[in-house]
Amino acid sequence: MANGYAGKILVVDLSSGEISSLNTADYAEYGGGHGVGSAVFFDLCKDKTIAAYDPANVVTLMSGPIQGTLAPFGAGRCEVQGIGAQPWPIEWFTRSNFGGRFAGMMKFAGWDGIAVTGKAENPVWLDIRDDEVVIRDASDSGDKLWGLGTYDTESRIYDLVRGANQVDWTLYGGSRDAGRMAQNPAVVSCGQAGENLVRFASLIHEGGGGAGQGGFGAVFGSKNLKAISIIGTGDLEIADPQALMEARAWWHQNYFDWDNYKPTLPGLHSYGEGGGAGNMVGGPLKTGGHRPQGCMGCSKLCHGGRGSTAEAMGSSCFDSWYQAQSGVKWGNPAASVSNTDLLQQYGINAWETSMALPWLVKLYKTGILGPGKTIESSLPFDTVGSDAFNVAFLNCIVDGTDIGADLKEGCARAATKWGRYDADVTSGDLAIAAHGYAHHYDARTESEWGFGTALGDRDINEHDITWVLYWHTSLAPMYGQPQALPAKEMVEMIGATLLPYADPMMLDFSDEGIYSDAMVKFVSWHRAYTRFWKQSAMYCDWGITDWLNPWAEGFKGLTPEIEPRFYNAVTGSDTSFEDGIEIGTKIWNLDRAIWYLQGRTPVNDQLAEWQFRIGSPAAHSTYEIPYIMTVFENGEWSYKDVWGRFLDHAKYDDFLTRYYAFEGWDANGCPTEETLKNQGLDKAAAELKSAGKI
Amino acid sequence: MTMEYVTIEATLRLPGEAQARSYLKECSFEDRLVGVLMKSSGTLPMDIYSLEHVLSFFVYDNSDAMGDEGAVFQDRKLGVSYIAPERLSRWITEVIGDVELADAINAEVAKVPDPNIYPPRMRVMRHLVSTRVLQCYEVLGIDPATGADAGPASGKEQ
Repeated sequence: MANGYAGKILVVDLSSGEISSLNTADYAEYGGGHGVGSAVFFDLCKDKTIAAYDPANVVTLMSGPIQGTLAPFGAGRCEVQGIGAQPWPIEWFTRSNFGGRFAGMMKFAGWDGIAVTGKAENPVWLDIRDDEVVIRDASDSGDKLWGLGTYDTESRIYDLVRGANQVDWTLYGGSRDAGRMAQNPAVVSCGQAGENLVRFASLIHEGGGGAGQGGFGAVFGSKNLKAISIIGTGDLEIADPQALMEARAWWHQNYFDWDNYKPTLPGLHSYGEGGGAGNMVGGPLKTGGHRPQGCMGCSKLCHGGRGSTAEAMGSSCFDSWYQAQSGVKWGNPAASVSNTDLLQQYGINAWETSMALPWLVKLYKTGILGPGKTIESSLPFDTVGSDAFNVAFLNCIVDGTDIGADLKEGCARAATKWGRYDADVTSGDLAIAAHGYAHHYDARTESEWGFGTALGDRDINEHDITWVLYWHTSLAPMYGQPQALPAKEMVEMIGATLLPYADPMMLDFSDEGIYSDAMVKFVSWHRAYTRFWKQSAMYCDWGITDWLNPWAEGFKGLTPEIEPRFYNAVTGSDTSFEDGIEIGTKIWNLDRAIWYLQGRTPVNDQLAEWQFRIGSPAAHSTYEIPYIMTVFENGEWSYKDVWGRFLDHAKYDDFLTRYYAFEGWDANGCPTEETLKNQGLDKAAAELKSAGKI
Repeated sequence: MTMEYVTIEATLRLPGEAQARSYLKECSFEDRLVGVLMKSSGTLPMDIYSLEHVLSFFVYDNSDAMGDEGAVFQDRKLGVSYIAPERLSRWITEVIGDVELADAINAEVAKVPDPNIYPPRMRVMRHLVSTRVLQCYEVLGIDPATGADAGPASGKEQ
């Protein structure tokens, strides 16, 4: 198929050892990535009510047409799905995503995705070399991977794939024309946290690529699956190579000023930037700078390492921020970068541990937790912030000792067991936002994030609007800089891209606006946009959406042109931006149908209580900073600090009622038979009907 | 919108020894102040227990270096140590008990022409808290460089 797809999806049953495949074409209507993953999961996981650790759980790792191509910000992304160990109180069918080389390499090996089901009797790993797929022994009597950290696992697999006859580099394949590869295999693995079923265990790929949320490291562990390694010698056929090259040149010309790094407006960062510019590791610690390292085909190279120390190589964003969280926050600016390495080796989601620590410290400081206290613990909380404490803290989680025996189940479950959930989530001391996930961006101020999270399965972690209408708008006055544009011009520019609606009122974050019909529309649009363009076509969340570009005239970015342009060049389709929104809506409905098969009710669309009670707790859960967003008040657009407000139960419930109706869902929030059938989701409708859900 | 700094005119009287000791005390966990360190890679709420901690917190702020665009922007070292001035002054009044310092902060912050711009307000807070802490060190004979208490013999008021 000259359309970017490899053509088949690998299916591995670890219980039986059976290896088979699916035709990608049967799922191509979903685009790729998440959409295909949801559809494959729906078909292969017959009983959606099972738990994450049930052998019948199906984990998918999916690419899409643009992965492995020259499409910027898309070549390296890989979507991970399945029933997650982390969500609470129901282990939702959920998702995560990581960058790097895995997705591209998967396609070079001839696979669009991998679906793993079953459970191996003993620890195993998957060794995939083009179309040769071998389930190998990962135990001590075999390849000795079980018990290793993620970095060590990758290194050992490199050696195993190179074999005895090679030196210190990889050369796989035959002659040039028959195909060969000199890169290392792409490996994704769980660390000791996953092996020991820590519910917030990550999957790690290379230095810092990671599927952090969802607990897929633990799902791997539950299947006795240590790692998947893949190396391919093939190539990809795309529909229109010339169009792809022209698109790349167009993007190069318009996305970033490669010759003049300085943006038009000081302090205004673009969403993606270029050539090694994306140093997101700029934490408060001395990091020794960073070297260019990034995902396949990406210009941003945000996976900066610590050049001078060689520690935390490839770690970026919050995983590197963890060292600051574990040190600076507690008065130890000298906290070692090795804190991040330990986190990555174990394969632990930084976000969950970063929520846990402030909560635990409060319990310790208030005499509830500690030696001889209600919650017994001998962890040295008097030295919190020290490297020694951090090691002890992470060790207890991984080993399940001390309070780690409960914490490995996640904060929500631990708090419930300790009888503290209601009190601490009402006060906000335990900063859970929804589904057991830590607070991130704020539901009280930024509806598309908070409400979108509540209506789904996890913290959405989609930084498009938050970057341009919170970070930039809030930081500008903090630095004494003007806003990029007057508020009216800003919402009109971005609003024009919200196709098919093109309604700037969707960006009204005023006290009334966050509950408005226009916000109903925006939350719906945002769920659909991200479901398709970010999670199925899989443009990186930190590359696109290009809504506000400091190098462009009038700051107008490349959205909505860039998304379909590359996609169509690769696939040869005529998919419009709006078509993507339609497909995204279909995928959103399929996910929602799966959640209802799992037992969802409207109660699960609620946000944790503190968000309805507290505007500014002196705790750790809120941003006690200006939260400046666009508001439409008294007939005018302006920028306004909306920090300090909290949600209203009645208004939020009314919002949900109108949202359900807008999506074509019933009063309980379940997609109706008519809605599902109109979107071609007949199988989902039938299964819901059979289960008595509709 | 321009970044206008104000000339800080407030002066603080030298505290007595008992006052100085009181001003430097660490408060309880319940009484702590929370500041937020803002970076483009995320925000970090930080617990503050004393005036000295306020200064340690402000160390991470370079918002007033924004004029040096090249240095700041290229290296992605943008950082804001954010505390709303009114929150800081209320905490200093209610928890630290230094009404004179709190009043001085309020008075000087009020002079900043644009209340939305942070760097001039941060500079006021940092300057006045620093002044007070150094005064306390002086009274108590503490070496500002090392934090070591030189003992009563070095104290001017002994």
